[in-house]
Amino acid sequence: MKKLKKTKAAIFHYAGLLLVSLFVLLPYYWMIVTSIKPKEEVMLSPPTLIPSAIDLSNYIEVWKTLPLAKYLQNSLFVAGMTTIIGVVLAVLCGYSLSRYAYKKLQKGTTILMLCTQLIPSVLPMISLYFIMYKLDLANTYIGLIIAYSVWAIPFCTLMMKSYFTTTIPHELEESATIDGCSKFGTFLRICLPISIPGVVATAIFAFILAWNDYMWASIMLSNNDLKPVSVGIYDYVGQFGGNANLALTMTTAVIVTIPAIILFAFLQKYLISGLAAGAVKG
Amino acid sequence: MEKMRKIVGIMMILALSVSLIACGSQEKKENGSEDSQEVEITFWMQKYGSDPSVQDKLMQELTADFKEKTGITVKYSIIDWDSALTKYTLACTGGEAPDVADIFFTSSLAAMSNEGCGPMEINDVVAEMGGDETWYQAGKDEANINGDWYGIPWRFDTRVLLYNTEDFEEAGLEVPETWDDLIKVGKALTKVDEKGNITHAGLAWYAGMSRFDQTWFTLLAQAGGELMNDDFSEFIFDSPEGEESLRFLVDCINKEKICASSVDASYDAVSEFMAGNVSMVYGVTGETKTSIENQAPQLNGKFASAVLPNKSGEGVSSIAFSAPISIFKSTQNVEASKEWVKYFCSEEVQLKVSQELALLNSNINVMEDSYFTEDEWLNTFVAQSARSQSGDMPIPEWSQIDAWPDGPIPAMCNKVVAGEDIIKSLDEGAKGANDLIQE
Repeated sequence: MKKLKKTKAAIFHYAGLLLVSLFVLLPYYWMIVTSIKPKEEVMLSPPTLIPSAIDLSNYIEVWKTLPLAKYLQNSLFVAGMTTIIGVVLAVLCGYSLSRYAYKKLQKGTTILMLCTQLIPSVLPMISLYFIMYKLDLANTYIGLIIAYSVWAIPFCTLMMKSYFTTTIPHELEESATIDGCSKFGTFLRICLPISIPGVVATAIFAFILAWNDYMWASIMLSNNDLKPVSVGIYDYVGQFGGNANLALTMTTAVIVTIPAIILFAFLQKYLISGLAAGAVKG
Repeated sequence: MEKMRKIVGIMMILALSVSLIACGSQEKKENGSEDSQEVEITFWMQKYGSDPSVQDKLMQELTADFKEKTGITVKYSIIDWDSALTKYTLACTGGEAPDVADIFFTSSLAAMSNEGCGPMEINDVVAEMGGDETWYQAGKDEANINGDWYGIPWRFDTRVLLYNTEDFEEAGLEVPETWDDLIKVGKALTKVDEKGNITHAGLAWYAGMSRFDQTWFTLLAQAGGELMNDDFSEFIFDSPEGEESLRFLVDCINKEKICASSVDASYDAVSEFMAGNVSMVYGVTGETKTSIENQAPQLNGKFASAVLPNKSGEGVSSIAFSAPISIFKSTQNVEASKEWVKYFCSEEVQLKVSQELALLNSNINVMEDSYFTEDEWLNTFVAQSARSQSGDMPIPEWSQIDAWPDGPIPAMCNKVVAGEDIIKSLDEGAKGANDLIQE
């Protein structure tokens, strides 16, 4: 009887997971399939889920129609720098908030950081644009990195703060102090190595935030040499929102997701343990 | 010791901040021109054509040729349509601005400008280029504000009928010339299932993302109606012609049942045409041909264009849009910018640009070239141009009034297609539009 109940529960459990997975993965499947469909099948209605033949010519043509290598390079650079700056500052700030701030100060700072996440990113766009422009930072990598970091740092700090609070026991630090370790040494040699899963989870979020952003880059940049791929993919979209090259757009989208997939593939165990251990709690 | 560490920490932060800002300025200086001997101007244009590399290659050729002739370097940027209006708005209100740009909504941009920002008046350039008879009326309406020219018209857009020639041949039909013909032909081509649902539509309105306002402007013009009065101080489309045109738009869907268009934003008329589910699309643009050739090669040789049928078969049967190349007041190189405008907008260059980017042209002489007149698809647009009137109103508030989806006119069209009362929707639409110009 118990076994039957468990089996029933497992069936429902996996059926639910399957449904959700289908719902989430169908757009990606559609994207990949559209990129390899023969041209005649791309606009068929009703659409075909399984192409009649596989045509990989789009993966060659896309490099001729767009300076995709340049766009990917720009995206990698900007996302990479945002991640480094965001994680370094977030780790330091998060540790400091979790260990050294007085309760009221800690609470107040956390609330302020939370408030920044409640503001839609489009609201301060004009004022931030003019600040960047007056500082001669519009149309530069640095301006874009700073703009992305402005959004990434509070979120990453909150993640790291809750990770440090819930995962690292005070006793560990106390024993390090007893052994003569300085405060910074305790952080660097004891707490940071243990926090790698949390740091990786935070880094992934910061990377994805910068990698996916379209709005800031499209407004701040007019120099085509600095375009990231999130803006570059719009080169296929025409005046009336029409896309005369849907297959090539999907091909570009597939290529663009590859770096993120590689990142997740190598770091997923850290991401899962980081999230589970408390990087997103509190 | 603790104090020393704090001081060192603060100094490191300050040093990092200063170096970041210095790097930004240095990058900007390296990107710009510091050499006073060499003149360099910036040019922004939006993305055109189906292959982004074609436009890039074309601009490289043109700027290289221009530099050879004049010694002036033109740094061009191709910006995407989604951010174009925001960028130009920022440019007109003190943000980064190019020397020359491919703008639109000229009245709106001019209205938000000030002494140092925004499009510059260039009456002298127009005079040098042949005066105002050189361009179609839609071009003049877009570039000219209160008698002054704020740009040189270049690209042109008018709308025609797209039809499947195979469907017409099989049914033994002629291309419709009037509204009555359109309904007869539509009925002959429409197929329904046993429940009465359309399985193959004779007609679809060209309304991407369920935006019907531009189709309705065409029908209003065809019915003899006007959007605004002669001095552009009041919207007057809440008229018998306004009602007639909206009713025709909706009747084709609900009463005559020849049209599968609806407020469903996922229904795209040209995509359905390419899928073989529609025989006619009402009001397509010039670049539709390239779209079909790229994405539905099985239709090559099986589609054609025709002048839009109107109510009577004669007179105005379409709307037209244009856009100017303008110089911004913030430019430091006025003469160099004027040289570029004259070069880019010259007939020879405009013909090349039209050919490479599959664009129509505001210059009447360019459109009379054999490239347009001897091509069956393009020749329809030349014929249609002679039977078109301006689709955009030359008022600063137009970008708000025709803003999709919440501007009063697009919202009115959607309400009507969704089934709301036509008279009530017309009144609300006209009131909303008039309120905006009175604010």
